[in-house]
Amino acid sequence: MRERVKRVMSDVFGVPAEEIPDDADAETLESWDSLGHMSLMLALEAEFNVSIPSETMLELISMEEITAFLGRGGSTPQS
Amino acid sequence: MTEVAAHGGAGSPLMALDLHHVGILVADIGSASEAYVRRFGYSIRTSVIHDPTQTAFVQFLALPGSTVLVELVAPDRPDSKLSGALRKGGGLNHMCYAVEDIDDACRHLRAEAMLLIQPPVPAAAFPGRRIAWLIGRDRIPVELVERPLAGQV
Repeated sequence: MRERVKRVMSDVFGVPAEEIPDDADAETLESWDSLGHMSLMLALEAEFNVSIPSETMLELISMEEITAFLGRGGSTPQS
Repeated sequence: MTEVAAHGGAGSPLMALDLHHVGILVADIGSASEAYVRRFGYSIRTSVIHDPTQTAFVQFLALPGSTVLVELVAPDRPDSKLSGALRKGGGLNHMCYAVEDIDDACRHLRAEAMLLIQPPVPAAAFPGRRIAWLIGRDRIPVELVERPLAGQV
């Protein structure tokens, strides 16, 4: 799944997938600004056929959090 | 044709919302403002303002008789928050709405599934007033600014 996420990030951010580290986050990828973040969220929804609630979008700011979310089938854990 | 309400519903902060300015991202404020004045007849409404929070220089222009401004925005340094967007070509950057109650407007827009990416903070370009930033699925960044008093931009 991580490689699939990297391919989406590569398309959205215009960075070669092999240059995206496993611990990529909004701080380390220059193109991951607020507009890039919304573009990434919409691209992930399309690629993985999930719906990401807006409050969850705010939390998915790293590769780790994105893969964890998708690993749960795109559901948000109940607190 | 179904009649569509011109404003938000009763109690909606949209009832008190005005288009304040459109932000245009450029590489150089001086040459861009000169082009807007010459090409479209804009007049310059403010000096170039440094906004350290946005890591940008900004300047406001307006057409004669228009209440809607254009904000030219340029990165203030190579690693500005705006540098990446400028490398992609710049251009239309955001839309800004003036609101009476910015906290209430933020709550309303969050309930409309917009992401609050910057809660209200004091604005360098608008002394004594606060701005906030949101983005929705249309991917147009939206700035909110507290409504200007008479004589303010």
